Amino acid sequence: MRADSDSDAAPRRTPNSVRAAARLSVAELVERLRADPEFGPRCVHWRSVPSRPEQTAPFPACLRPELAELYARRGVTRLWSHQAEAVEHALAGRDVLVTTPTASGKTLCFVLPVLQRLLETDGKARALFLYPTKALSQDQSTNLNGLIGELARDWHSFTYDGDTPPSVRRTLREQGHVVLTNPWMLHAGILPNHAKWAELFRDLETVVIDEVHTLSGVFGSSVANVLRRLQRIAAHYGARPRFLLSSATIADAQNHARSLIGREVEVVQRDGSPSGGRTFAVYNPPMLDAVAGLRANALEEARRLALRIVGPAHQSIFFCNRRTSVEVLTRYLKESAHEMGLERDEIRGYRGGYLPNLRREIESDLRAGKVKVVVTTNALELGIDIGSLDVAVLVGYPGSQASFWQRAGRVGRRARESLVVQVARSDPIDQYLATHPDWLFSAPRERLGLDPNNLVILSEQAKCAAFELPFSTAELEQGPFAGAPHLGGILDYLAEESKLLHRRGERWYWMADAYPAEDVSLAGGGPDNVLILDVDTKKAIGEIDREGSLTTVHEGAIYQVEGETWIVERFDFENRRAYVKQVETDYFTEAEVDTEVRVLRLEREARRLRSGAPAPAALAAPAALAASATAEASRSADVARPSAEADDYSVWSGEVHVTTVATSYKKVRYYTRESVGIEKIHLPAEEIDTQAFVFALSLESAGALGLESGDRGSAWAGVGKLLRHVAPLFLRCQPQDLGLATQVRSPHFSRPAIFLYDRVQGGVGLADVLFESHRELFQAALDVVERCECERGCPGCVGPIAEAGLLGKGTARTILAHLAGGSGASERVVS
Amino acid sequence: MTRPSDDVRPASASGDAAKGELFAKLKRLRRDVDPPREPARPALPAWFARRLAREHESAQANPTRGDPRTDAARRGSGADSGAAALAAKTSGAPRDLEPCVNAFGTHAVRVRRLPDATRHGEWRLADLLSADMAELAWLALDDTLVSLAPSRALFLDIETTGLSGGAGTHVYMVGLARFDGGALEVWQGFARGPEEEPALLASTAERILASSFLVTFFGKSFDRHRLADKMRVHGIAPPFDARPHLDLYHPLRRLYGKAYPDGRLATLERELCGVARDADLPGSFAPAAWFDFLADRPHRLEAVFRHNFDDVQSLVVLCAHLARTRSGSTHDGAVLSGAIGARCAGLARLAARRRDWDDALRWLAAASGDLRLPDDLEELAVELRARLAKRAATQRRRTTRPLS
Ligand SMILES: [Zn+2]
Repeated sequence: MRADSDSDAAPRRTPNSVRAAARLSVAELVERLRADPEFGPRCVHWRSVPSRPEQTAPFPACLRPELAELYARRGVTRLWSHQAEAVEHALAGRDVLVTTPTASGKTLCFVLPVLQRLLETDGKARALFLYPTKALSQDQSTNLNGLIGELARDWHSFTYDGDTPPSVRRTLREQGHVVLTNPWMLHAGILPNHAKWAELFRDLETVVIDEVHTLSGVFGSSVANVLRRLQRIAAHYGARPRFLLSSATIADAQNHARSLIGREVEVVQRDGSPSGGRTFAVYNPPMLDAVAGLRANALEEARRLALRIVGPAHQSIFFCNRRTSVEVLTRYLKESAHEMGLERDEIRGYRGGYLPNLRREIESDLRAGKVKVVVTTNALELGIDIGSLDVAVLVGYPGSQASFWQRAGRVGRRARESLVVQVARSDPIDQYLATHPDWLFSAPRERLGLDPNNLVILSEQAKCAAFELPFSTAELEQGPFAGAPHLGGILDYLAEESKLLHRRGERWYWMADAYPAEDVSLAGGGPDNVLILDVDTKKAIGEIDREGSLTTVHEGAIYQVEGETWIVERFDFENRRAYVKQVETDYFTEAEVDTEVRVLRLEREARRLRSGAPAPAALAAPAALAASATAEASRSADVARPSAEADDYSVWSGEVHVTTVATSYKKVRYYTRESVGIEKIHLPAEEIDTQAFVFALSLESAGALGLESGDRGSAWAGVGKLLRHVAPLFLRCQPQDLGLATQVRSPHFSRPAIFLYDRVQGGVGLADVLFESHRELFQAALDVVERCECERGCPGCVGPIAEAGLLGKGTARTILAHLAGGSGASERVVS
Repeated sequence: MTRPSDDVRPASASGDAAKGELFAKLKRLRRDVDPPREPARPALPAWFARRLAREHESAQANPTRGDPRTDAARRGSGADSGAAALAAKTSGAPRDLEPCVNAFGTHAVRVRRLPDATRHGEWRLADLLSADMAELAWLALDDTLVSLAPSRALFLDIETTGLSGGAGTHVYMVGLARFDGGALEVWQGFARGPEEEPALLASTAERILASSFLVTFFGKSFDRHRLADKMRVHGIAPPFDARPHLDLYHPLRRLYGKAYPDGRLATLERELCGVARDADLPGSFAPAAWFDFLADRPHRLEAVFRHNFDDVQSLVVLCAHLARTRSGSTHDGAVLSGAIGARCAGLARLAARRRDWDDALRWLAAASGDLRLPDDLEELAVELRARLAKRAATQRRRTTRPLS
């Protein structure tokens, strides 16, 4: 069934009725947009990136002639320089990470070495391709089988995912020279049954992992462990595969790859592919209410913009951040089709949830140029081949630099002029980028939070690994898990406390009637998550983590999914289920929580002295795990209580214990934000142990900056909220991945402190990245406050007056200016 | 990224304290034991307390409402029930074990020889030796069995640490029985720890290679795969390819599938061969028995040995019974036990599958003599009559055509 079944509603128009303006080239469009009296001024930033010629290199000399011939028949007689570089590394047996942009021919970098090895070994060398999406596209497998077919060999490439019928699986296991799968299937299907895949593992030479920048947070940390398990199983069958990785451009790519696969990789980043001239515009919708900081709706602005920049002579793509926005914007645009010189069925929506056949049809119509406008989500950000388009409109910042460039990379591939328009929303990060567009174009600064050694994730993955093969004590020192701290202790714990393993001499064996991979989720959705069930349909409509459940699914809460609203009728706390009913409301709910943060152990510290001079680094032994008799005693012994003498500010990263109690909730009317009632919440407290980035002002500095308790305390909270909002500039995460606690007088530090903590039990590395980037974080937060056009605080900066207080914006600005100015804090070792 | 302080591994001197701390931390982080939760407020409102109590009741009344995802239920050895209590627990190593050494190490074995004339239920073990393999081949829809000698069969049944499959499921006992010099030799290989599994499987592979074909119950779906998977893990070539394998489950299900409430071995051996076991430990207790043994707790391994020992004998007599199916009588001329209507109906289906319509109709008539036909047999009967009528018509046309 087609989602856009109204496509045949309009009769075909004759070409001469199309308005002449719609036939403009992209370059002319840009000119027209710049000159537009209404839209021109709202394009707050323009940037032209000139076209770049290609850099080519010959096929590597050692490449089999039939491969060069194979590609020559496809019109490829030379490689782009980065392809040649990557292929040469791969053929030399090195691990490679290719970080060039979308459409720079990364697939060839992997396929060529794999085919070469197949030829050299007469079909023995096998390869495993991992894609980080659940439903795999069959394109890649079809493409590979096509190439193999032309080589006239009896080799096969198969896709193995949840849709693979059991009847095919056996053939695939035995005859799949190239197996394409995803991390979920590898984790729960292939590795636990490795004996059935023995042929693959015995001759596994290459592991390809696509889009490794998506492997961060809990998911990435889990996948890093799945890759440890993969290497372990391969080693058992005598194979040591080489890794070929691809990624969007990210900061510290080398380090990310190392965390992920535990090896050093060759990073190939000099892009040799050609690109046409590209123009970028940042469009900031007009301010409707400066007091409230309310700007015109980005989706509505995108539709108005479409009338200026969409036309029949080129193809356009609109990216929304939500599925419902796709439907809304598609409907809007179809209604305006004729104004843009288009037929309704030349405008299509495309998102996850559409049936595969419909998606394939839209993809091929895009490639064929039949579809002129597609409205989509991140569903078209990765992988799928839709050819190159001309104009991209990003409705809202996609949340990460990598996503931004992948979306932008959908246009301008064929050495043609192209246009990318970023439409800003009202929130702090979009507003920051509207005023600091350079950030988008500079070297990538976001880092990925990844911690394969998170104790919870590691211990869960160790269960799966022990199921696959017994662990030996030698593996604590060498092999894929050698880098994992406390592994021996974790295995003992799983044996002695959990009774899942059994230690015999130098080995820990799996010893339970269970299949652990089934219960271990890669995305962290553990048994603690709360399932949200529709009381009418009895279907699950969502899932929320333990801590988040307190504020989002308490009884009476309005739960929102993609713009639809549900009221929570009952929250079965013990059984972790919330029962909801769909409703139309004119209000949403905001829970008030009391968050108490207790410092367990500080691990890294940096501080600045009042004079502005950095403190001399204290000399002390590195903090070791304290070996006191009880955990409680050692924890308090570990906690550094630095003297505040002459301190200006200090930052730390360390372990904290967070207790959250939801106390009450407010019903808030949409748009006006007026409160229409307050109700109590009766739920037990939630507790997590995690990693936090902490920062504290000395009392002297706090006094000097006008931060006193009482009314101005809300300004301090505003600083915290803002820091949390801008964190995704430096850290690939969503603001909601970070918990926030602000204390005007911290019981631990006896001064104002802000805690930004990782909301994953045990933490997945977010706190360390924040610690390292804290100066940039302060600067970005300051920039948002300074550039915000509101008078006294708004949702786009420190929050509305009602929350941040009358003087909130001013005080926050003073504090941030002080923090961002002067010299930086110097790190010292926590003693 | 690794946090710097995590790289410091605790020195062994302070090892115990460090271990205690790590355990406490893991327990807290993994939420393996929830810390005693202090009430969030001094007193719960009365209505809330009432509701909590009500929900607690309903959760208990309806156990599916409880969290099914907890794995506590599956862990360890706590599984005691009425059936298991019948078998007494013992401590230490099972008795009568001999070491068995091969290239993959050592494992234990218990060998018993049962004279051919030994009865198992109403059958003698030796009844198998005169089984007509062509009959078995016909019933199992497997022509590779036709030319084999029943005396060269190997009866196989294994005990494992679980049914889920996958590399973490251990095969710890393999029962293999074969006829040898007037006796049934029952060889029960046993791994005294997971480290002995490779040697156990190597011996198993060797014995399978020395046999001419396998007889199991549900072994094509379970035993064979558990063995082959673990053999591959240990680098032992699985001996199953191209080796004939009679899995009794399938022909017996075709014959008696609808006659009994379940198709379990225990049911079939009782109904068909009159085997009555006293104090049998269900196979589902096999994992716990071995886990207890490994952890030096009192265990029920003796009952598992017994269970496995009885299972392989049941394979022998069930196989002998199966071979007499079409004759309808035992060697001594007694009427074969078992639901005769279901059996005849099953034979009708098998004959129809072999496109022997006359035979099918004959069995069908026999079946309907015994009981009212179930719905699907009525359909088969209608179909068969239609086919026979059609064939008869064709034959009439053939014979009349030259005259016209
Ligand atoms: Zn503002």
